[in-house]
Amino acid sequence: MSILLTTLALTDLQQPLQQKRNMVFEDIYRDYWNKVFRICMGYVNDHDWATDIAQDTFVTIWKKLPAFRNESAIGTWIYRIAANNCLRQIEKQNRMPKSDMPADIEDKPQGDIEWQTKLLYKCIAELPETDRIIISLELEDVKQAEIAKITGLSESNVRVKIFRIKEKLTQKFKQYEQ
Amino acid sequence: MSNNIDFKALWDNGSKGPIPDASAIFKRGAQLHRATRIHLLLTNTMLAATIILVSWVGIHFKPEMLTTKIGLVLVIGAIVFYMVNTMGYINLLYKSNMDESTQQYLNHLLQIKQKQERLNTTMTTIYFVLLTSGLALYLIEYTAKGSLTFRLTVYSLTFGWMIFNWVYIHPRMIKKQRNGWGAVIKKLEEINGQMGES
Repeated sequence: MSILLTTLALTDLQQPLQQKRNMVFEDIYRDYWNKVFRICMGYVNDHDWATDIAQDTFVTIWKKLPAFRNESAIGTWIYRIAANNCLRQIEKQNRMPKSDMPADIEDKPQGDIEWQTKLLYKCIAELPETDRIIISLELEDVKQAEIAKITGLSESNVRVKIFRIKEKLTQKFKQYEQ
Repeated sequence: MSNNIDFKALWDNGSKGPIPDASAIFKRGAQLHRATRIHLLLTNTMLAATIILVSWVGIHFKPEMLTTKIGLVLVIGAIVFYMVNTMGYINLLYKSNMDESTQQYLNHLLQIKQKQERLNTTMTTIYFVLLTSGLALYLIEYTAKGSLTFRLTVYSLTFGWMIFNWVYIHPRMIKKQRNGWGAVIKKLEEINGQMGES
């Protein structure tokens, strides 16, 4: 029995590290793709551009995964990489976040959920850069203490900012709805 | 008009459909890796080819005077200096930690950009000084063999070109670089400012 256990343990140890890394990465990818994509989409309001940023985020996660030491929660770590990848877009000066609505959406009735979703992303993309990141994390149900860790702001500052951003967002949303 | 907007429900509705296959990430990672390797390979090949060409000119024309040899070394030096520095700062950004907090990352990004701007302006000036002085020194030996008119023509053209560079091309290059970096730095400072507001 003990020989069998030793053999099993050895087999486990011999399992290629690359394979384990792939498995962990695929779990992270499955759990976080939609969340990361929405944050990127809130930042740029452009489906293709957001996909590019989300993919770059996961490339960084894949590269840095062996160095991740659980010093912060995995979610905090992932959101930090996603937020920083969004901020790096300022180097692409020729590409500005889209604040327009797709033509096929503009004609839809206002109560339509698709129309309202597009409107929300458009309103978020019009906010200042850091506000876009903070509200996206808030809407992603990230705790305010975690948002503080991701952004480097104090918790009280995050709380105040979220309150003001929500007010601003509601105003914008209602303006467009009128 | 809605009174209570459920932003959370609308937000969640922002990504529907199946999750793209993870292989796209591995493919993108491999593409980025390949692009970096190709860039490095191309830059190094160009660097080596330039050095070989200038060295061949030096060996083929058998310079006798010290000024010619110094001139050649300065020209090669200028090209090597420029290429090595261009190559160096391209990867600077990628070395910064993407898993820092937004505030730390912004500060690092700002520092890197300011450093790049300073480096770039200084490098361009050094490149111009090395290249023009190298060329002027290189020409001494070969013009000395010609007539006075030939010497006057060559030097007028050379100094004319140097003056044109210093008065027109060099300031324009510096201005263009400053504008490019300046816009990014200004934006970074603006975002950094947003972090401070509450």
